[in-house]
Amino acid sequence: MIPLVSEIMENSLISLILFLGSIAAGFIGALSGQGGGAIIVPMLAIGFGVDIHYAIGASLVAVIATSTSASLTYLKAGYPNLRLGILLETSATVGAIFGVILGTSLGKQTLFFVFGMMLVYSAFLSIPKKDHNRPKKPYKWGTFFKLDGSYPSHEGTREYYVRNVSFGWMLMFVAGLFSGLLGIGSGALTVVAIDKVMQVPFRVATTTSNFMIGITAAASAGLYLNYGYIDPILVMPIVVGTLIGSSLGAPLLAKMHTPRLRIVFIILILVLAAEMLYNSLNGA
Amino acid sequence: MKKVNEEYILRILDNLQYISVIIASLFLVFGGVLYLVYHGKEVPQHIYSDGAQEFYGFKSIFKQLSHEYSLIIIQIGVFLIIITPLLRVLSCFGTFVVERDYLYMSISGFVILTLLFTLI
Repeated sequence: MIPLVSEIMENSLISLILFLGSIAAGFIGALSGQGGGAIIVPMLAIGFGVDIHYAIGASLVAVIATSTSASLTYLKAGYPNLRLGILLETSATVGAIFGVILGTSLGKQTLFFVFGMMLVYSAFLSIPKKDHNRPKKPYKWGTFFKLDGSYPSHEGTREYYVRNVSFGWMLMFVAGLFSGLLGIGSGALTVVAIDKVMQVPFRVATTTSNFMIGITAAASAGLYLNYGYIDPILVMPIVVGTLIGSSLGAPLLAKMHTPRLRIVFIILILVLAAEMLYNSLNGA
Repeated sequence: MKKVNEEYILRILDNLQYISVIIASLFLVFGGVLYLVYHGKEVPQHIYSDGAQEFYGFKSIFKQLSHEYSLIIIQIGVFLIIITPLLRVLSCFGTFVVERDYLYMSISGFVILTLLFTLI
């Protein structure tokens, strides 16, 4: 693929192209449930030929901005479990630090490969599945850390209990690691940890994950900023574009009841994954 | 249509003013300290003599900013975005302090320290 941005282009033209591309990336990211980062990094690294470390840096800032604007709406609704989020952040932020250290020392090709594999895995995870049975009684660590809670539903307030706290906590280290390594929100992995492993209701899991994504990404972004991989010329159009794109996509996702449309976007993610893997093998 | 609650809007405006004053003072303190660190030994001759300085006019400020500091301004914005999650954790910490929840004060304290470590 020929990069769409070349070295002789003017700043204003590059900004415009990146801005429009980021609107699309934010839109697709929101509708596929992957977040903007999963789209922005491949778009910059393959489509625009930007160095992948700069792509990761810009993506992290966009991830923080979108997660902040989204979580403010959810916080008011009373869904996210703040104690659970903060507890899991103790391992996610440390994982993110290790991820950044690993990511800045790994070569381009390896990063492309890991990114491609991660996209395949998270696309697979986000295929909608049926809800499973929820625990009916409290568990030891869930009670110790005061994680059990309730959330508003159609049939009034519903109680829930949290299990597998230690396994979920360790899984968040991995989610943080990938966030720092690849510059993505790691939303898919976070939701797996909270929803599938800790068996918290899906609604609570997704909103708590959204509350957490920004914090994890901030740990990675802080380090990237200090390493000098966050470039203002790149960041400006990307953050603004992603914010616009995802705020257009998010309300659509809420209205979208057919899983079929969602699958279209998941296929799109898989195409991006294939592109990343192809580039990693052919010397990007 | 929902009726607009005047008192509510006034309260929001009040808060906004409060926040903007605080942010502005932080900029002044930050810029001032930074200036003194690098220019603290110089003598400010002009404040003892007659005549205004064109240098600090409103138009002039923006012109100079666009010349030298436009990228720095973007980076300040980036920095503000990156510290927003830190503010989120700080507000959680505050909630736990009010609730006297010592377990979660230390848990959120750990997250705050980790975030500060990455930023500094």
